[in-house]
Amino acid sequence: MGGRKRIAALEGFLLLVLGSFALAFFVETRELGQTAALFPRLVALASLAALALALGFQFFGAAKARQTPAETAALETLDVVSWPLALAVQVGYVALIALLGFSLASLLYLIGAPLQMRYRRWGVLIAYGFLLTAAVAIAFTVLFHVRLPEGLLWSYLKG
Amino acid sequence: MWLEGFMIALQPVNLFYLVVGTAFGLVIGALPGLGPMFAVALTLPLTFGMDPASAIILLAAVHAATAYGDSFASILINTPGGVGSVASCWDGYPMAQKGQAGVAMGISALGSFMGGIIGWISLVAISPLLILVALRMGPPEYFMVALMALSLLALASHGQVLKGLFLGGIGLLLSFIGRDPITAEARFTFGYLYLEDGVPLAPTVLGLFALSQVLVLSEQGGSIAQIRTVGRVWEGFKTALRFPGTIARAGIVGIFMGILPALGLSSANIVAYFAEKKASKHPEKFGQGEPRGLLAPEIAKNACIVGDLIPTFTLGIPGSSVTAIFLAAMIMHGLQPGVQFFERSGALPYTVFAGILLAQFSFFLMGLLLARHFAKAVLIPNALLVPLIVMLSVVGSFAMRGFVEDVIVTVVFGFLGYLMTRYRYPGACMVLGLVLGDLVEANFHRSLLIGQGSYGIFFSRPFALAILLLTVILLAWPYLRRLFAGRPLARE
Repeated sequence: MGGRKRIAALEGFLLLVLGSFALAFFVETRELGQTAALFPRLVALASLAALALALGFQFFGAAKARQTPAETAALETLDVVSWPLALAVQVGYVALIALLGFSLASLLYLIGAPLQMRYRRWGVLIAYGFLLTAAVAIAFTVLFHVRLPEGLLWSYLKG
Repeated sequence: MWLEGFMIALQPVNLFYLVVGTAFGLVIGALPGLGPMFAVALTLPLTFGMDPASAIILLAAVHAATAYGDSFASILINTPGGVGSVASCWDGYPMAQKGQAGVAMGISALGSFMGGIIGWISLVAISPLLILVALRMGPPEYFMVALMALSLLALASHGQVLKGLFLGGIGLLLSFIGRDPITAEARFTFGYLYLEDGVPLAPTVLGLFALSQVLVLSEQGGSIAQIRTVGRVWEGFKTALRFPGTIARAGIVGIFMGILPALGLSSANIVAYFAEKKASKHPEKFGQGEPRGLLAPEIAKNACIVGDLIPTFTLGIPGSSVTAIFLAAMIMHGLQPGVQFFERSGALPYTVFAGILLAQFSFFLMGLLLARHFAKAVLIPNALLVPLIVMLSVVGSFAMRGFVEDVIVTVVFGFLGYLMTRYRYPGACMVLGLVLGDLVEANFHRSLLIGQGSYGIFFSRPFALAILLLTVILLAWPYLRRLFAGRPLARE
């Protein structure tokens, strides 16, 4: 039952975010000129109407079909890494890039993330981390002329 | 002229550019989120100093190969390589999961090749007729076609029509962030300077499709393929050739979508998928690894890519943002697109056309060599694949503009995309809304201007009205069919 509640809450959260987004747009159109506001207002209203109808059908039209196959599948999967942890690692990687720069952060991430997923072949991991980091960094900086983030720490050390 | 054109296109220097452009395009295409726009834009500065024919041939090779390479990521890791490969995920990835990644890659290779050839034939043979149709379309018709594309996508969303329409609306709202296309007034920026340029497409797509997939793969563990085999690429060829009706339908969709300015690559693959599902006697098989569900978008995508070039070369109106770069390249090299390009450039147009045809052969042959090796990616443990996708998504998101905020956008949409995947919300509808937003709104306002403020303009023009009625019928059809059959509405 706990799992079922968690899933329902997550779907509710998704709808709340998207519904609030449409509502915020509708409210914001009052601040705009007539031309700039016209079409967004229509779309916001139509989106909210579609959401209301979808929820109406879901709650009143087919209560028996509430647990979708996707939900069932999600409940049955073996969480090697749960999604909150995987998301936290992604956010941590982005934060690490801002702090240490792309290359060092990527090296640490490419070695650390597989470990988190219980991958233990160290030789493969080290080669994987170094080779991929080098290949991507060189490809993007040399071939594509992209300036990759250097990181706050490096900028601080350079003065 | 044709013979001369082919002779020039087959010169060693042009063949060299063809091979280099194809290899580059395949690599860029295989990277999640980096599509033809990124690759062609990166290549443009490299054409300085080349003669015009070589420059266009190089760009054509990059364009065609990137579009084909985009499907690698769609099939193997359920992440569209670009907006043109969204529909390729829907049956390509289930095939890979069933241990048929090699077969799927074969279907993709031959489908893309056939699409390119169909597009090329239309480019050189029937373009004048098709342009006449496109020229008869005004803003109300474009508005209605865009609405139809959104509705069709919602309809193709496994019974989640209302949720699909809702997400399409959210995508449109996202596209309104930034400058109003008519008044240039800043809208919906909520005080953030970053948002004045609008919500960036590539980081959003990367988040919705790549990072969300990472969360799914992290939960699954193991590897993408549930069966430790990838099948044979040649089987994919044989499978593709079993469906001549699919080839014809998808080819027509691709050409038509390519010819309509701005309504091309992002929609062609999705509309072709839906058209094929509608035409099938077993639509329930779509989304579960049905070969036609992969073949149709692959053909339409590449037919559309070449079809995109028709208005670019003949009218000087780019068929898409990518062909706008082609247009820039032509002008940069002193060529005048339009009738003059054909009348005053000698054998050059024929060289360019020959180069475009050779580009199709080039990516096909190179793809054949690489497809089976790429297909083995599905056997890589998710523990290694997940960090790779995250790193490429982050760097791909950052590379386009160099903004850290773009990476944050990717992460935010990655989380939303994960929730959508988990609860079967069709995230592709949101992307299509985001892609079509400017076009829809601009044509909405232009239509009202033509109609002097009256909404009657959408109902008084026969073509616009016909498209609207078709859209309504298609949207209502699943419900009407159930009512006629005497069955209750199970969902929605």
